[in-house]
Amino acid sequence: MIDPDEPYEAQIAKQAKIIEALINRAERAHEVGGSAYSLFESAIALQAKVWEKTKDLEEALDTLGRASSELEIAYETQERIQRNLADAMVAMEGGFALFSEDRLQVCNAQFRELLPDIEPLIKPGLEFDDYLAAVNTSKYLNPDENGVLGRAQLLMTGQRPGRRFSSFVMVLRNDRWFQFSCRLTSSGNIAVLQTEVTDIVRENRREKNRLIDQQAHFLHAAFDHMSLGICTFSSTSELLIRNERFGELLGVPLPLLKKGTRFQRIVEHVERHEILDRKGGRSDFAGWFRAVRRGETVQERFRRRDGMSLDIRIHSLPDDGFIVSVMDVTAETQAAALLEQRVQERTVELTEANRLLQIHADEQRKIEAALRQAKEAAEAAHTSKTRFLAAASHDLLQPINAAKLYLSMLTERVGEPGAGEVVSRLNRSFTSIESLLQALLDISRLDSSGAEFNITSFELGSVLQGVAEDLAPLATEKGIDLRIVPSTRWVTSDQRYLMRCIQNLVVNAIQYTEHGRVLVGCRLRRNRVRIEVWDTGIGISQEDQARIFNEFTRAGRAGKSTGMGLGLSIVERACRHLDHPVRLVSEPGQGSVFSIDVPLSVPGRASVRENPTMEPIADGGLDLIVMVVENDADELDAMTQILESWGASVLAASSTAEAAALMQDIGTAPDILLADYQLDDGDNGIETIRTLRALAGAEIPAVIISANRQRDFVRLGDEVSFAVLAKPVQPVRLRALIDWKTRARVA
Amino acid sequence: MTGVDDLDRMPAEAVQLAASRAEDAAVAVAEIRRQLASAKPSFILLFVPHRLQSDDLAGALRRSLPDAVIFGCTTAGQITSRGYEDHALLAIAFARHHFRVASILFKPISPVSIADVVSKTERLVSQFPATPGRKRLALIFADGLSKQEDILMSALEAGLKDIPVFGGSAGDGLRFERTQVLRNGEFHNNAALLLLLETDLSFTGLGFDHFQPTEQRMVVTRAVPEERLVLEINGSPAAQEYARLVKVPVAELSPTIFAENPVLVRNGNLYHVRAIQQIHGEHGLTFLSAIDDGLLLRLGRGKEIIRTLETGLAVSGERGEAPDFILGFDCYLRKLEIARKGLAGEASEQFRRRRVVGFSTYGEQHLGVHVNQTFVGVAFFRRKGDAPL
Repeated sequence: MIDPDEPYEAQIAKQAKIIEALINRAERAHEVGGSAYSLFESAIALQAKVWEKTKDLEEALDTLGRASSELEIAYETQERIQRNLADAMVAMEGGFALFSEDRLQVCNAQFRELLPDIEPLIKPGLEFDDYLAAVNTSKYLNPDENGVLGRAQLLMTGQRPGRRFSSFVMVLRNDRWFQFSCRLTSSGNIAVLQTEVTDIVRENRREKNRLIDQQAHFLHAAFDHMSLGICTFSSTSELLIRNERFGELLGVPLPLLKKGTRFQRIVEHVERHEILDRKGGRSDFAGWFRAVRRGETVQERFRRRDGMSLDIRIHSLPDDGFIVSVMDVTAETQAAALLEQRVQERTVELTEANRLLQIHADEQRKIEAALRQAKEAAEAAHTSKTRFLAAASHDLLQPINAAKLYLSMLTERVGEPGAGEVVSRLNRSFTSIESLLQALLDISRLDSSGAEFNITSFELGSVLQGVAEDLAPLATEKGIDLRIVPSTRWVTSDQRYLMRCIQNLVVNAIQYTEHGRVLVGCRLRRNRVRIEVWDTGIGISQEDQARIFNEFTRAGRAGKSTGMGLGLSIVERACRHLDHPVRLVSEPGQGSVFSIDVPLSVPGRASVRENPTMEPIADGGLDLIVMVVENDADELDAMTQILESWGASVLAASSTAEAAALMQDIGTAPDILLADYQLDDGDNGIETIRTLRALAGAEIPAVIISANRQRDFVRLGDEVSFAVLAKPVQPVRLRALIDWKTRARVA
Repeated sequence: MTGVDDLDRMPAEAVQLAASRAEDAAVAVAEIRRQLASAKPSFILLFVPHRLQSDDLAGALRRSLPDAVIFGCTTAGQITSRGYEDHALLAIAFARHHFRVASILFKPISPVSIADVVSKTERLVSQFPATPGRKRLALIFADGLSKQEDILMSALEAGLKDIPVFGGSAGDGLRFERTQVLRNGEFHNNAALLLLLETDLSFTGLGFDHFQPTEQRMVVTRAVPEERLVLEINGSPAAQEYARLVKVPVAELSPTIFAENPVLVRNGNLYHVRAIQQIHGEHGLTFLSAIDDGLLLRLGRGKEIIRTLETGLAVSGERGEAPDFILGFDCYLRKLEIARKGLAGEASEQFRRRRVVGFSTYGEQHLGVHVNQTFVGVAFFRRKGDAPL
């Protein structure tokens, strides 16, 4: 605060002064001083409070100001409304008056001046009832209409409290009309309105007259225009209106058709001149009248002498008169007759047609019966043919077999040159006949209704391998390169027939291929396997493609090759029965592709069946300890002999307990255990396996031998781990299985 | 000039303005009279430039406008419809339709008789009741060299109670020789003029300054409070110490330096300016408002003066409308500062835009206190339904 550049003494002196000044001021702060600065200070302190107060006051004043200005607005509004009311009353076209508490308060000039004779009476304060009374007696009122006013007065005086509104029409002498409306307002005042309605009344009147004239005119025009004869009569039977047609139709002369002519006279004229010819005698006019008087409509048909038909109707009118209408119905009558004739003709035609139809139906029934018989005959013939073929083929094969045997003997004995060649040809002929008969046998079997198929799951590989082995010589002989692509797919089909079909397709392909090759392969098509046979042969034309599956059909240039064309026919039949679609894609000169679609199946347990075929059987050398458990003594003995012939040491037992005891005696576990499933006294082979394995504390390889279906053990086999061999036991399989089961141990 | 709705383009409804820049008092008054020929004033406020001799002017007024009710004072500058001016005789005619007025002249005011002021004021307030729907306010014009405004204001506050009072101290250019108030065609020294107004316009007071305190503090160690004279600050000669604190040689101290470096006193959370008038004797400083021994002062620092002016004047009525006019009392020190910063044009533009008329004072009175270096004003708004169209 103090200049730091000054000497310390000076600074100290100044500080002392500052301190003194501050202390003095601090002391003075407690004095109630009148110094300018203290006033300033106190004013500042008050300032906030005052400001607050001022604001409050301003708000209060504001509110007051608003209230007073609203009051002003209300007052102005009232004045304006009053002015508007006065203006409106002057501007109104009709008379207007307001009665407050039954006394006239305001009214306009029209109201005062409507009835000049009572004008002096109409002053503020006039009682409402007095006003009505004065109106009632006014000489300007049309005396003919007094009743109306009387009613009005009644309304206003007698029923006023209940009525909020009433209205009536006043008629003045000079044909002026006023509507006189009284309305009780919500505040209990009565407002009276006089509206001039003269123009409306007069216009109404004019309009009514005009309408009446116009309607009469319309009526006449309409009458004249009608083809109907019309005539109206008054209640006293005098003619009122008629049209020309009326006279024409009834042949009544004009003088009789004047207005006022009595109906009776017209009737008499018609009768006298016999204009109308009525069946059943004279008409009963008296009866007609009575009916018309009762309000009924009378209708009668007449014939005029010239053949015209007339309908006469009489109908009562609202004023007790009646109307007579005459209608020419000649055309209608004729048309009706014509129509009836047509209907009759048509009926006759229809009856005839119906008769013919019945004859046709009978014939049809006969034909149906004949057809049925023919079909039965055909079926019988087919069945017998099939049966005959089967029997014949079978019976034929026997002698051929015999013939071939003799031929082979003959071949050995013939020494003469040339004769050997003959015998050889004879031999080939018989071979052809044999295969032909075999095919015929197949076809007949496939055609017979009860063709039996043995559907199983099997691996396609073995089938293809079989085909390859069988046909390789044929292909080699012809110089064709036969290739079969192996497959491991499993399919569901009849193994024998499927093999036959593939074989036939391959034979066919080889036959029709001069050079090149034949290829067999499989493709996977979703859930099916397509077996395809490709060749590079002559191909099949489009028109031949449908035909070639028929019996004895061969492609044109098949040459001298063997076969009678039965192969494809068998394929077609077998695959149709097996529901395997067969397809053919071919191009002449390019070769053909035949294919069969076979359903895919899940792979089965291949090992049991596969391995034996894959392993060549070794004689002897089965250097194993084999435990055989079998309750049948003969079988146990046979099994033992077989196994021993293979070089195995056999431990034979007839039950689980015996087997266990035997094993403990020897003190070592067997290398393999063969157990019959079905043992005596509820004992079984699986129990044996469990027991022996438990005793040995090792997984002894085991085979269950059972007459039951193999698949029953599949689940158990997974659990306990053993192989299954079906009875009767084939030694080859048994040996293979033993080898396979024990190999793992040896290795 | 831009197209703002200033008082020339869109004249106020409640007041009519007239101004003359003539050097001769008689000519000036004649011009004023001509300009106000159509007015029907309740009274006229006249703000007198220092170059016009008050005696000449009084004579001219008596001759030319003998019947007019005229109040006013000498000034340190005027705010006309053009903005800041120095030599304009400004007349504001308050329309009879909107205003009623009553007045008291307090003379002498040095010393002030507080009891006298309070009782006279109270009597006036009771004799001049407000008409329902109208509001009252008071205007005070005091001799700007009397050094009595603080006490006077306290007394007026007591007498006026709820009636708000606004005012400005009469000025004398930058001469500080003779400041006078005008009432009934006569100029008075050592006097204060109180006007009690009643109006149907709504009004709102405004007051603002443009300073904030710095950390630079000082203590008055020797003073003559009655004379608003400070002889020593911080134990040093006052002028010398002030010059040291504002970093200016003593010889260069001037009204402009005082304007830009005011000292502030603290009251509660508020700071008020204590403006320095001039150097007194060798090292004394006279102030334009009350000071005291042992007073703790702070140096103030200016804010953006045009910005504070713009926001301070931005008042609007109940319906958001601009004021009809603002009667403004603007400290001459503000005008000095604005002029030195070359902002006079901008400030004048703000005044025009906000429809301000008034004068440059030697001190302002607002909310019951006498203050320095502020702008004090009253904004008047037209009544509802009186909007032009």
